[in-house]
Amino acid sequence: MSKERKFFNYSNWVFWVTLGVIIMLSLPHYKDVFFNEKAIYSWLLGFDKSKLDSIRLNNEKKIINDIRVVKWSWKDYKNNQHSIKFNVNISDILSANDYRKNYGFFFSIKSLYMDFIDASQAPLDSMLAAMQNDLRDKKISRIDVLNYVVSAIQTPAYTLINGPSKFTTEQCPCSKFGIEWLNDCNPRPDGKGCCNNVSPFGVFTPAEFIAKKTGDCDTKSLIAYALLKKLGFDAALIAGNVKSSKGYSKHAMLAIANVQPVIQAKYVTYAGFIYYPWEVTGFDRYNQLGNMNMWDSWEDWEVICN
Amino acid sequence: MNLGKYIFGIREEYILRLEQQEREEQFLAYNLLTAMFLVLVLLIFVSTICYGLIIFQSWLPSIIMALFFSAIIFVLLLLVLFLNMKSNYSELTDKMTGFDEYYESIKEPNFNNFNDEEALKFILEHELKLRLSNEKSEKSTFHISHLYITTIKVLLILLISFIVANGIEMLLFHNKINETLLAVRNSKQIQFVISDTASVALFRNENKITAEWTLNMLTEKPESPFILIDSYSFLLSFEILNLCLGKWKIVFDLLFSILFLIPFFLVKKSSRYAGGGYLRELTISHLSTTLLFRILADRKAASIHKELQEIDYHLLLKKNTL
Repeated sequence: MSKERKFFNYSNWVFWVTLGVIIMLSLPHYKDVFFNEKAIYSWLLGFDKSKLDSIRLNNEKKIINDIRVVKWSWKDYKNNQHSIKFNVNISDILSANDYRKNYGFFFSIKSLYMDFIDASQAPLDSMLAAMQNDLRDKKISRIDVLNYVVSAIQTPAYTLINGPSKFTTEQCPCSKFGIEWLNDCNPRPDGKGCCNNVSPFGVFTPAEFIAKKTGDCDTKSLIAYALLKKLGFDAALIAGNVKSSKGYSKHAMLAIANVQPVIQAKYVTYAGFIYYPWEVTGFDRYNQLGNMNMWDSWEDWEVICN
Repeated sequence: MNLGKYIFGIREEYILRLEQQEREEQFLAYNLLTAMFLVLVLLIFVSTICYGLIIFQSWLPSIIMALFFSAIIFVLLLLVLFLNMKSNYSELTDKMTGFDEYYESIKEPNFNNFNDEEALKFILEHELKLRLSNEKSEKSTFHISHLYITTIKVLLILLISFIVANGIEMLLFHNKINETLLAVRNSKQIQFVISDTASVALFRNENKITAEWTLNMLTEKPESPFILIDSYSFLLSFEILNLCLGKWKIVFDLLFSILFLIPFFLVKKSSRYAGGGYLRELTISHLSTTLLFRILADRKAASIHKELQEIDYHLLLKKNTL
C-alpha cells in the first residue's frame, strides 16, 4: 500500500473511530466515569462563611485582627479619574459599628456626629493619608482639592437609611420621595438600596461608610465634613427642610465657608462665617458647590457642626 | 452512488471518464468526505440547538438560531475545504492560470476553416494529449505564505470545533449537570449567604449578590420552564461542566478538534483529492471548453473579417450620395 493511500485510509479510520468514541461516551455508564460532581464542593466553598466578603457582627464581639485593603475609584467634575488604596483594620470598623449601635441617649445631634467621627478616627486617617499622597503627586489647586474630596464621597451609590423601628414606622421596603425603596442594604446601581433599624439616628459612622461604600445625606455629609476639616477647610454640616416635586423632607448637606461658589447660591451664616451648601448625596456635574437648583425651596437651615 | 454532488457539486460525468479502479476510488473518496461533512454539519446543528435551549429555554427560537448558525458554519467549512482542494497537476494548474500563454502554445493556423465536427475532433485529441501528459501529479512547492494561510484556517476550524464541543458536551452530560445544579441550588453555603441579613454586613457583600444571582438563575420560572439544562445562565452551566469534567474536558475537546481537522487535512494532503482523477478531469474539461470557445470565436472573427473585405466601399459610398 502506498504512503498516500495509507494516509487516506488511516485518516478515515481515525475520523469514524473518534465519532464512535464520542457516541460511546454518551452511554450512561461512561458518564459517571468522566463527570465528577464532587468538584463543585470546592467551588461552593467560595460562598462559605469563612470566606464571606462581609464581616458579620456577632454577639461574642470577636476581635478580628485583619487588615483589609479598600480601593476607592471616582471621577471629579473635570472628568479626571482618581483611585486610591488604603488599609483599614477590621477591628476598627467593628468597634465603630458597636459604638454606634450602643450609643444610647444623646442630647444633641452635634455631639452624636462628633462622637461618630471620633469613633472612626483610624479609618478616616487612613483614607485621608491615601488622599494626601495622591494629591501630593497630582499637585492640584486648593479648590480642586475640595472638588476631589467631595466627588470621592458623592460617587458611592446612595442608600436610604432608616432609624430604629421603635422610633420610626418607616421601614423598607417602602415608597418615599417617589422611589420604591428595596430592603437591600448593599449599594445598588439603581440607587434603590435601603437599610433598616440603623440606631440610634439613621446615620452610619464614617468608618462604616468607608467599609460599606454607601450611605444617605447625613452619612455622606458627615464623612465629607470630617475629611475636609482635617484638610483645613472651613467645612460645616448643615441640616434643614427642602421641598421638591416629591414634597417636603428633612435633609442634611455639607457646607463650605471662605470659598466662593461660581454660581449665585443660597447660604447660611453662622459665627461670622458664610457657609455655602453642597449636595453630596450623589455625583453629578451639577452637584457642585452652591447649586441648589435641585430643590424648589430651602427652609430652616442651620449649622449642626462646624 | 455519488453523495458528493449534494454537498460539493461533484459531477459524475467526469468521474465516469476514469479507469474502473480510479473511478471507484474517487467515488469512495468523495462519498466519505461528504459523509464526514454531513456529520460535522449535524454536530453543529445539534450543538447550536443546545446553546439556543439554554439561552432561550424555548424550542422555536433555538431551531431558528440553529438553522441560521449551521448554515453560516456550513458555508464557512465548505469555503475552507474548497480553499484546500487544489489540483496537484502543476502543468494543468499553470495552464488554468495563464490562458494567453496556453493559446500561444497551440500552433494551429487552420482554426478559421474548422467546421464544428473538426473543432470537436481537435478538442477531443487535445484532451487526450493533456490527459496523457498529466498522468502523474506533483506536489505543489512550499511558500512561506502557505504557512500563514494554513495557520489561520486551522485556528478557524479549531475555534468552531471547540464551540461545537461545548454544546455537545452539554447535551451528553445534561442529566449530570442538572443533578449538580440542583445540588448547588440546595447547598447550605448559598442558602447561608442569602440569609445573611444585609443590615449586619459591614462591607459591601459581593458574595451575597453572586449567591442571589446564582439562586435566581437556578430557580425555574413558571412562564419559562427549563428544557435542557436547569439554569437560565449559559455561563453558570458551562462553569459547572468545566469543573466537573476537569481534565476530561480537554480530552473531549481534542476529540472534537480531531473530527473537524481530519477532513481539512485529508483534502490538503491526500493524493485522492489534490492528485485525484476527478480534479484532473475537471481541469482538462475546463481547459478544453475554453479552447473550444476560443476556436469558435476565432472562426467567427475570421468570417466577419472576410465579409468586411468583400464589401466594395466605393460603390457603397456612391449609392448613398446619389
